[in-house]
Amino acid sequence: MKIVSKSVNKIDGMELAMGKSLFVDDLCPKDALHIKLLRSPYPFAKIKHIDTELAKQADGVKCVLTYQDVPEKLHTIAAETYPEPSPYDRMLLGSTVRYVGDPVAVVAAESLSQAEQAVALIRVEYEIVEPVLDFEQAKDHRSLLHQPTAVFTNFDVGSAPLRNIAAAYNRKHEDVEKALNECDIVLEETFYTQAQAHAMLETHRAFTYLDGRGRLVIVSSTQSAFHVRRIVAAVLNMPQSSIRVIKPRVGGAFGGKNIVLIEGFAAFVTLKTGKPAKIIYDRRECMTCTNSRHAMRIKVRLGADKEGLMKALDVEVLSNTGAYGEHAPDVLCVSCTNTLPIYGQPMAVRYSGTAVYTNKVSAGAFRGFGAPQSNFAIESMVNLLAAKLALDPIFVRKRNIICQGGFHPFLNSGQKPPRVTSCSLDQCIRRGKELIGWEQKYPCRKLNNNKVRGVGMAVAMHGSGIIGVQTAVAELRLNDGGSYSLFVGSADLGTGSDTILAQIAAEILETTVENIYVLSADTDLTPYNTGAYASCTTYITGNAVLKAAKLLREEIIKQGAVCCKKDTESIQFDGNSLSSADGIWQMTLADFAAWSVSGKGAGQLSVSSTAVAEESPPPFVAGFAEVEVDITSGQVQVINFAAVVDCGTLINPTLARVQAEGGIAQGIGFAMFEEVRYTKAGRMLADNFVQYHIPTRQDVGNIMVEFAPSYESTGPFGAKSVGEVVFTTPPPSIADAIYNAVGVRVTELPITSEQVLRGIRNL
Amino acid sequence: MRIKEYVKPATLEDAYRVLHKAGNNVILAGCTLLRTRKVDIDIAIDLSRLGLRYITVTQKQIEMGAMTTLRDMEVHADLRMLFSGILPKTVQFGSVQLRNMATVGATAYCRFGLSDLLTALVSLEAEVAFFRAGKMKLAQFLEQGMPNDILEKIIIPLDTSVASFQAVRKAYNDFALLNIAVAQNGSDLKIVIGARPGRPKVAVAASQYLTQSNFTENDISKAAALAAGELSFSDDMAGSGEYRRLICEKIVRQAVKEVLR
Repeated sequence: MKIVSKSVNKIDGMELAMGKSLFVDDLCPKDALHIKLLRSPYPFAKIKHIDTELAKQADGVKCVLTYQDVPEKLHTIAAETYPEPSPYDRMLLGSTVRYVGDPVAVVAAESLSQAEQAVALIRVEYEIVEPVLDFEQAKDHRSLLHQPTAVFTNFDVGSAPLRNIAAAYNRKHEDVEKALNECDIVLEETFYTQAQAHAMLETHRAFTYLDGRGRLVIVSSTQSAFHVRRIVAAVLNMPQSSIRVIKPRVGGAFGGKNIVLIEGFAAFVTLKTGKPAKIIYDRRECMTCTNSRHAMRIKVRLGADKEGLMKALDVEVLSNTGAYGEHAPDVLCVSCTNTLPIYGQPMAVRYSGTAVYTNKVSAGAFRGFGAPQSNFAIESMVNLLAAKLALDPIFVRKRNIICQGGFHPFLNSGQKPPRVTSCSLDQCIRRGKELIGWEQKYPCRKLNNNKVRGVGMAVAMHGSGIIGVQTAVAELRLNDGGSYSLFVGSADLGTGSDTILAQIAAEILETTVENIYVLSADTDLTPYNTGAYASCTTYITGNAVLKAAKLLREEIIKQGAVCCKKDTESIQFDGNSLSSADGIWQMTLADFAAWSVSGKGAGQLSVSSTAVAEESPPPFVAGFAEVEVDITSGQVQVINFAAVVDCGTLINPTLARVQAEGGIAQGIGFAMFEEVRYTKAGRMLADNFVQYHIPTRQDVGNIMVEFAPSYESTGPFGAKSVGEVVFTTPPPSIADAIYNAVGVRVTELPITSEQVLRGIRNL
Repeated sequence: MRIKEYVKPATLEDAYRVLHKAGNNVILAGCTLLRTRKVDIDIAIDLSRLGLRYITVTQKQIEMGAMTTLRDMEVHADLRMLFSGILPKTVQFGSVQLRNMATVGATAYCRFGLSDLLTALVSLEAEVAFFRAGKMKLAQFLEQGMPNDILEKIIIPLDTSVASFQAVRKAYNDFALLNIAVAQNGSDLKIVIGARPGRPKVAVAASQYLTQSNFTENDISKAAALAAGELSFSDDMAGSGEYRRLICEKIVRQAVKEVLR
């Protein structure tokens, strides 16, 4: 392979690094109205009266909207494939507010400060309702977040508004209780994980305008242009044909932009006023009024025999979806199906998941999508099992993990029975063990300055897209000068997916990445795509591009045969020129491309191919942490983190490596730094980067990433996904490294020095 | 912050006069905190024309102008050598970019409880000089404040021979959960504890006990216990008062040992 498996530079990398005008706010018309929202100061209240007169008369104000002005359309903002599993429980603006920060009114003015001043002039009378703030008390609480008539589901997802339940997901295989009864050892523990913030550099933002034909154009920093178009059309009762959605470059998303939250406000302002309008969330709004990871309580019971062979695993999840149910059902599903199957050892397994409503910021999609939460609990339990049996955790993993061809009843697989099509997890573990120096360092080494270093490990899996849900189309054209244009609806979020797709096409067409122009995520110009979520772009859109490139190559050869009046079989194409096998006829690609559009040929060669998720092959990671614990303060520092990843063939090794390094850093943040705090009254305190600490380069230690690629036969050139799986191993491996250092078992994230010190001193 | 009028006076007198005009008038320093606050300012007074950005080292003392940035201090060659180099260690917060803006003057004038710098400065017996009120001990100023005056400079006597600064923080560039400075000035030892999260305070009883002791292992432990006992600790977002008290004793012990070594 000449292009695939090479670390070519990101096609937009230099422009991004040079600060060119590529992002939403760079592109917004200078005369756009500025939108600011009035937000609820209460976690739960009904709006009794709202007076906007003063605000409407204020300087520069062009539009003030309340729930009385916007269409009453129940919907979900989850940017999922229609019909969405997420319950329809939102309005663009409603008469009930359900978390501190829930929008009450929309103000658009000529300047931001005018909009801010006008917001302060709106008078609202609230009827305060008792809020549900503790998610463990939410089920059957006397306060109901949503009336049953105000929740609609496309199909049964276990939604029970009368009990504050947004969704439920249950799976079982064999009789878990019976199996647990027969085990030599049964362990039980409860774990908690927090509502991590995405903390993407570019906050949520969009602008809207009417084009020359009066169509609504939405330019948004989004993960799914097509879902923005569909949902805005539905919410504002507009035909989809009158909306165009464009995604420019995106400054980070991590799942946080897989919602259609802000576009409707801007669109409605533009429709009302005829003027361009922009909405930019500030950091506080981004952290307190968008979405987060689902906070979870995970109860695990694990049964095994004395040799560490797992016999029964029971996982019970309570997930806090916050005020609205975006992604609540599918996050539960993923927290089951992308974690439990990593243990292929035949055993009884059960997963019971419930997502409850609370009066807190809504949860949503976030890198890992529920898997990191239950993985932390399950991996911690396996490490605990090893400790109880005095076995090396690596030995316990080797005895129980799934291998290539292995079966698991909960696995997302197109095969019956469900099997893993590619897996080198055992090699990942073997190599990771060497990288971290496990033989020398396990379980710990005491230093002479009140510090102890320990090592710990964990394994993780994910999927590559969602079977039967995700689909992608690629359109590929040969241009008249011999260059190519590739049109895809997928969204490059800064990950480099546009580059990956260009590499796949360039490999087949034997050309350079520079010779392929990639246009992505513009609903007027690019074909349909379910969007950049669930680790799907390389695998699914990549497959569509691969098929399109092969098809176009065949077309070129077929038309070459027409051009030189020979059999198709005798035509050769090397990327630069076409020739006949006998060597008599030869033509450069540029000349051939010109010929094809000249009127003598068949016209521009243009193909379209579709890929549908028929499989969701899991990528795997083995993660190893080495930490240093200060026994005087309980402070923990990550010294080394080694991860060995099986994401199949690496289309671009550098881009895969930075995905892994970034994912590990973010996972370390989830494990140790990112603490979400609320006041007793339900207001989020950690609403900026002083209070909410994401780790810096100084905090993550030395990250070592290597790959142990298996070959995934259903993926493009053997590739699987990489974006999410790399997030998952830091929390359980760091927690176990701390245990191995000082004997303290932390079951609640984030791990703080206070927790560790209390453990050390038995307080 | 929203500013109605912005001035850049040429003299401290002018600055002082504008400050005392009617309205909410505010001195601008690095603006790192001010800009994140929702305040309406009538007149914003920029001090950057007054030549207050300097670090001067003489035989007896160091003088730092109020507009000296934390970064200036961090990279200053003499400060890296003096007082066992503790001053540059106290500006780990945020980023280089942030420290290029934040000033020592504003850090002191705001009497910022979580500041690492102030804890170290108190241990070094620093003084602050105001335009109108003149010189006073930093420790005294931290207790009482000095509204409506302009801080001109910070003065640090060179008497301290050895010092130690320790901080516990959740992340490398975060504010401290607890910070401790111990300094030796002649035969006097001074223990200062900050980020409790209240303003830094001298642990008076502990300092006296330690100064008069024979510095045995027992004496040091006793002093550390006294320090943890005599000051108050409370909760904030970074951690609980209880945790602060739990770690205080051992960290004071570490710091004292480092000074006596």
